[in-house]
Amino acid sequence: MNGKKNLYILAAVFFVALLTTPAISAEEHADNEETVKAAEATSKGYIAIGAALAVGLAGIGTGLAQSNIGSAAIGAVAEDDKNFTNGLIFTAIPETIVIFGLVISALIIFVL
Amino acid sequence: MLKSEKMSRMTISGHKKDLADLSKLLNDQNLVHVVEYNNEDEGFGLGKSLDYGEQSSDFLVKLRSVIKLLEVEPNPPTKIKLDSEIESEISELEAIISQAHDLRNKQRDCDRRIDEVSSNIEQLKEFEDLDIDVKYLSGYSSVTVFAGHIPQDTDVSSLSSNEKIDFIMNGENVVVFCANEISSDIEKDLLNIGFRSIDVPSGEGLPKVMLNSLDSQLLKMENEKEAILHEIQALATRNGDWLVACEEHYAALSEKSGLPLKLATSENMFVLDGWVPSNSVSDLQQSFQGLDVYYEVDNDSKEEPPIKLDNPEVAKPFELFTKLYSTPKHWEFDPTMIIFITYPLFFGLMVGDAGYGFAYILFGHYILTKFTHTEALANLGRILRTAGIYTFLFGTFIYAEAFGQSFYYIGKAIGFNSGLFANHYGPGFDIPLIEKAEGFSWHLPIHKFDPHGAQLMLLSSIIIGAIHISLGLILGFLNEWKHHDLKHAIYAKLSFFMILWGGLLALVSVVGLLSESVQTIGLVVMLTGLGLAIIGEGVVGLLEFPTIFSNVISYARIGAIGLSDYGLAYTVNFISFSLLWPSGPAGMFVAVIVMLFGHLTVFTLGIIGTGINSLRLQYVEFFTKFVQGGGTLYSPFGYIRKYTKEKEVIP
Repeated sequence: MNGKKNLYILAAVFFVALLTTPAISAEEHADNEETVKAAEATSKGYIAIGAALAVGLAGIGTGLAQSNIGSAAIGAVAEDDKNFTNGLIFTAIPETIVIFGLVISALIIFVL
Repeated sequence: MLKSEKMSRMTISGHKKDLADLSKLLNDQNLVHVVEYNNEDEGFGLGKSLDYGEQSSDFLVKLRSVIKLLEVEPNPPTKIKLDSEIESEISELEAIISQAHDLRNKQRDCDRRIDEVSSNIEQLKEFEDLDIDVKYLSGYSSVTVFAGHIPQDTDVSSLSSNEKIDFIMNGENVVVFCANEISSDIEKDLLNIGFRSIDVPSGEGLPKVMLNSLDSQLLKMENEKEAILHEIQALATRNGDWLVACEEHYAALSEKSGLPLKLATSENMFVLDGWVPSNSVSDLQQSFQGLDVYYEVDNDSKEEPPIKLDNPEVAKPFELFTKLYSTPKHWEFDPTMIIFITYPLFFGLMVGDAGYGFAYILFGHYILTKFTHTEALANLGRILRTAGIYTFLFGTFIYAEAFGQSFYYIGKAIGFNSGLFANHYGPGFDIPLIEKAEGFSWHLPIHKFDPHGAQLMLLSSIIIGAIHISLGLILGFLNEWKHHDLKHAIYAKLSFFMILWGGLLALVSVVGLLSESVQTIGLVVMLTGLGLAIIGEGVVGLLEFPTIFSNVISYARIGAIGLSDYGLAYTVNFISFSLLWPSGPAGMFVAVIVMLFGHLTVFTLGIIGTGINSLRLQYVEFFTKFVQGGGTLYSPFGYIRKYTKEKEVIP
């Protein structure tokens, strides 16, 4: 349990660091034009982070769901080969989650 | 094509003495699907197998056990044996069985001895460093010996100060000798300092010397075992084909003799209940002429017939996927023909690479030729070959790339940039929604490295999804209409069709491609559909409402997998050609290895990942719209021989 708690704290620190770093670096530029450029670069960075989070987190979600379904499906197939198709279908269901993530990530990149 | 073959019900009855002739005839014709008798009527019971059945199953059991014992794998048939040949040669079986058993017993004996010696060696290794003859470690009447380990750096002063005991120590090893009377006290002392007892090995001599001799014994036994295994293998190679042919012959005989076990029989008569494809009824009737049986054919039976899928030869391999899901009922559409078109289409769109496509064609063909005698594997080979052809065509004309390398860049490297090797070819066309720079229009090929190409791939995958799902809903509508009535079909299928296309229309007008009035129409259609679904299916309809859209979005994987496969292949090329190749001969060597393994990985992922995903789109998104399944597959009585044949009896 302790390990999990540490992981959460680490993740929180990571996110805060991730979100503040570009802002700090932008403040360092005194020149106006450079500030605009830096801000543009920063916003592109945010877009990339957003897109990556969308597909990455959705992937983790799919993975969590599939790990349980997958092991149960393997068990069922081991008992009877006829369960293969049903096992495959059930295992494939959570895949849609990551596809949603992918679509959102594509929208973020192409539309923003 | 989209329907299973029409079947006629056939009942045959006659005198039991004619069963042998009937069984031979049905076996030869291979047409009648026999419905097994459920043994529920008074005065009727299940029959007994024909007289040659017992002997055949006897041989069959022996043959199967020896095939398993020798681990014989069936090869593709090379020489077809006659049944009379087999029956005259079968007397040799006993000799082979006893040889196989002898060899396996010898091997087991050898294994046992190897285990024994190995465990002896393990035991001795624990005492390897002790300089004492092993025979002194046991066999006393008044002295107790404790042998084992104590942790290193333990304070052993309690042992050394005790004058009543004698002990030897080397590293962790310790052996303590003491008189029987004080053994329990000593044991306590030892346990206190962390002593762990180990079984004392038997034998005579210094542990090191004994170990040497045991090691050489072990080596000898392992050689002996190897020789036995070689002998077994030789026996299997020598007799494998013969055994497989015999197994087939007796399996065929055993099935033929088992016909009465499926029938209703009284004291003297039998009744067979079965199904025959309607267009083969007249053939069968003709062959009954010489036989003293009475039969009736019912062309409009209300009972549920077995399903004989009816597809053109080229689409037959894809029946594998249909059967794997579930055999459709007789009133349902058989989806095989549609999978035949869409499965390789999706596969081709996903991989879309001329190089891999060609490799899949070759690999599929290899599986096909190697496993001609295993139906399912041969079919998988055929499927892979078809998928490879699509992949090759898409890779050449739509994506213009091979092994993750665009033709355009290949052309640049060799100084030839026209036709397929040009940046663009063919006439230009416009695609709404995806912005392209002013004055440019779309051309083939679609470059996967271009973000616009990626957008186009995702968008077109979703459009393909909408069409594929609509097709499923239309087939589902027709199924429902036929099996229930129009009202059911409208509530269950048309409703979702309206939700899907109403929603899509509204969406397309929201992004500005169609006028606003269309948006209203779309919303009205969608809500009407939703209303119908709720009337028809209640809350379930409401819950399923978003599913239809998530199903469509799920097709985005076609584009996504295409991009990721390309990304992998591109990375492999980049690492080997741009990073490793320029760094000298060693770099070139590593580059070749990286390239081989990298592309092999992408190739395998293509089969596993893309193959499964393309199938999943069929099963999860498409089949759920119209296939219920649960039908019984038509399996006519009769054994199809591959390694043997029955001698033609000339009348």
